[in-house]
Amino acid sequence: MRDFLLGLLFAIGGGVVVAVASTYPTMPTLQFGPSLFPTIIGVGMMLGGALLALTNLTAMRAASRDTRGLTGRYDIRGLLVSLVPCALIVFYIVAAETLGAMLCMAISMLVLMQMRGARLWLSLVVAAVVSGAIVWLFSQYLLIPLPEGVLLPQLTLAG
Amino acid sequence: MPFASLTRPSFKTPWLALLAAAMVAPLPALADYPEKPITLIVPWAAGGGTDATARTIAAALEEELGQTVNVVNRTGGSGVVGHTAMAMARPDGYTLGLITGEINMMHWQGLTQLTYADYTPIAQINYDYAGIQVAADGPFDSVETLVDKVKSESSGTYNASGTGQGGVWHLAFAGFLLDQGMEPNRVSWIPSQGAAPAMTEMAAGSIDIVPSSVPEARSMMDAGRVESLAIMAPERLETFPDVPTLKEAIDSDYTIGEWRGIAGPKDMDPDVVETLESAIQAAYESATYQDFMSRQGFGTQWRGADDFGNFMAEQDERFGEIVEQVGLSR
Amino acid sequence: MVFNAQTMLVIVAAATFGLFVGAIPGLTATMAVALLVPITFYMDATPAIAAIVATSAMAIFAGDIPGTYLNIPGTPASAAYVGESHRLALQGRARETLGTNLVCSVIGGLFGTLVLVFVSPSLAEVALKFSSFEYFWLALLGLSSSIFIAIGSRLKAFLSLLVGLLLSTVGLDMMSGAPRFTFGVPDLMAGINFIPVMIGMFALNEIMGFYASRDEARSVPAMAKDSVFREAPRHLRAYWRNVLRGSSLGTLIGALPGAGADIAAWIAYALGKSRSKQKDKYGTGHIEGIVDASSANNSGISGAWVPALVFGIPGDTITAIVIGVLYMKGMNPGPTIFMEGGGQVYALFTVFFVANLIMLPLGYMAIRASKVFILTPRKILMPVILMFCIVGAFAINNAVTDIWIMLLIGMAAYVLARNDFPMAPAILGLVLGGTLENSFMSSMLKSNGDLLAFFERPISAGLGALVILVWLLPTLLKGYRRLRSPKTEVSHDTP
Repeated sequence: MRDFLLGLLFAIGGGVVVAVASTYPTMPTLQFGPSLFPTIIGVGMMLGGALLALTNLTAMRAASRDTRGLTGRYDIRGLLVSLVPCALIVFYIVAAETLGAMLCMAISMLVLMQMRGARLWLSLVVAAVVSGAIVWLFSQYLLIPLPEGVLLPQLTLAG
Repeated sequence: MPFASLTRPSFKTPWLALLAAAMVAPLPALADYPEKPITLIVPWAAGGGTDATARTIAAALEEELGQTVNVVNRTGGSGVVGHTAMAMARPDGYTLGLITGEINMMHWQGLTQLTYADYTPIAQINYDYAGIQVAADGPFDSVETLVDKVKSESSGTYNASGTGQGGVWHLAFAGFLLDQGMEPNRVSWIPSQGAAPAMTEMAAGSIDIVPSSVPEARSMMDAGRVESLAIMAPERLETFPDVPTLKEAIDSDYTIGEWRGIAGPKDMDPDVVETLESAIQAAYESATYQDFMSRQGFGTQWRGADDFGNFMAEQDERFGEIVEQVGLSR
Repeated sequence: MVFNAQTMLVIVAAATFGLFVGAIPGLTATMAVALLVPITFYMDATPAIAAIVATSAMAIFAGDIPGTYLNIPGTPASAAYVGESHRLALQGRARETLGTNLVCSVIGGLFGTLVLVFVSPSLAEVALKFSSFEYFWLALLGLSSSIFIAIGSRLKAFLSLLVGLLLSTVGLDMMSGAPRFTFGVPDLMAGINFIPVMIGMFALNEIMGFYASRDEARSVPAMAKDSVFREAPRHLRAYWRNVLRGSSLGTLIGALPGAGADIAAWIAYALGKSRSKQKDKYGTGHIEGIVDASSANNSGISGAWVPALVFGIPGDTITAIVIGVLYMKGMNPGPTIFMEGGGQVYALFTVFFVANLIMLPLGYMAIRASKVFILTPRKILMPVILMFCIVGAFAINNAVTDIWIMLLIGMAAYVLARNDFPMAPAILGLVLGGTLENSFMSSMLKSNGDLLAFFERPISAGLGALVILVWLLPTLLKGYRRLRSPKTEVSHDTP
């Protein structure tokens, strides 16, 4: 069932790619140009996706036992929980400019560790030490400027 | 400010500082510039000539300013990405960029809205003239035969490579063809990721001409695979005394090349610009920078903030014309 | 010149630095070497080169450590066999795997060095015959191998490869300068870097999987008592052909200016599988595949120096930086470097040997120290890895856009991986897609659209024939097997 849906998704995606690619210009001296490769890829996705969907459909018919559908096998809570790390990445992207990379990372780690029931003092220590260490290593040794935040710009790089 | 300078040294870790700072109001950070590390954005990849130049000037600048200068590569999109990042930065003097000649080419081709006017010029530190390199066992032995053959054979017989479509060496060579009274696409341009891959292709026998700067061909010239027929410069280069100028070779006054300089986002504080200009001048004159450039064979050229601004404006017009004539303008 | 306290100290320090950088997803060997450049200004030629060689060799090996323990490869070169080594780790053989990997890496590196010392000029001549026509076939060969070695459904591997290829078309088209799939985002004009994609596909995917399930168990066994080096001699004896084959292939491909350690590792892995007597064991945690590929990627690093020293043409991004340093130190690359440079070149070769050999003790310590991955409970480790994902994705370009890419790709990969789509072909598609397209387009421009030009040059024709053979091979083998025993037909497309 899920393979059928994914196959369909690939086929549709391939169609969109082909459509977008058809708007690209061609090279002055050749009959094709920047649209050639995306078109080939798009067509490949359409064919591959359709094949996946069809073989899955026939397999399902033949077995005719797959009545569980999509939700039956999925653990909704698990799905939601698995999205928490993603939400925290978005939080970092949005908040790092104001809060600073260090604070954002500490908060994110604290949330994740508490979620899986780590001891509070341990979570606090790990979050503080690791976020401090990452910022220190990246800005001092790897020369990568992580966002400092506007709250205390002069302090994070004080060393 | 006195508060910050009083408290800062007493904190051993950023976290204690953070706790303390959470209790007091944030302070405006403006004192003696520069008081924290400076970021230098490079629009080309680590390992290339621009990157090496940037890292060297950064090392020399660090000594002048007493602050770390971080080189950050923002590559890709034929330079669009890095130049955009430079222009979008806060004009506080802590984010600068190594601006290159592409800023005068990209907007004519509709790749970006940005022009030289979106930056605060600080200083020009380098100029490399275009050369005409051919395979040592190829069909050309002088600029004269090259011009003759390109003129007499049918269009598209020969090809050239060295940058992407509409990149500096493409325009330089197209401009040269125009100067010689030919249409610019008489030699087909094969876009490449840079001069180095084009050199390899030329040695493999599938490219005829690479109009890059002469130092970029140096190792292949030393290996006897590549010859530089001429340089599009007013006078010969010190590092390559045997390469004639176009004037000497075919009596043409055409000169063109790629430049590199340091600039910041628009509307920087004039005092900061002044501090930077004199620090960069000292860095430019330092042995570290001069040694590096002459060893690599790169050309050095100094222009202060005002001159650099005027120079960019002048070059912008010139490249606009070439882009128009090559038929790449959008 | 080499065996003095300063040089040895530099080598050890640089190797440790490389170890650290290589083990963090998102930080690359190239980045590590670029950071070293300003420091080399203050060194003599020999320690300066030593620092670079030691850093890059160590970083490439260190990329396999998180790959083995956490299924998060450090470099695209190790993506070829990350599945294999992680499965071995799950069987409690993490150290044995890494130990064998380390020994193979060292042998590969030494092999590449020997080639560099003895046959550089002639090998460089061969490498210089490669133009866009040859690179097109080579890229196609690499991509075909990713389908060939796929475990499970080939159709899914093919779709995964297409996703990677599609991602590689994002950005300004090199040939026409036209922006593709950029949606007006300036950062996307640069295209999509494989680092954030790799972090998303492997690391974030893994993290999401951990939080979706409730159990702690899915980790590497904590009681592993396997020894780092004890099994290595046995494996080497059994697979010495693979080591030799991987090393020579790696050196050869590494020496090509337009192809590097990543393609080398993939082709070596595929070749190893096709020649193996135990093909069916591949993908279940089989050490043979690791032997081939890990010899190949380290010998590729040494091989890249061949064109760099002989012609001043970079064999990869690391040697691109090295050439600048060589000029700085007055060792101008060129065929004459072997004659005029004299003592300096031999010092350089000695440095190569020392830097590769020093990987053994340092790598051993690193493998011992990486026990921390097992001892730390996953509920503590996973949040920390997530932080490294974020800063690692950011670090490659210092761009927030790359964090978004990492996030979106990671979520998509999570869905695909749960439905048995392999991720590795997508990485290879992304890495090789640009080469494939650009070499095709520039070949077409050169030949004015004549497809037959791909068979006109001798090497190109040979590679082309090889690619076609690889494509036909499964069908031929199937037919052959059917002839011999009509009942044991293997079906590949089980959905």
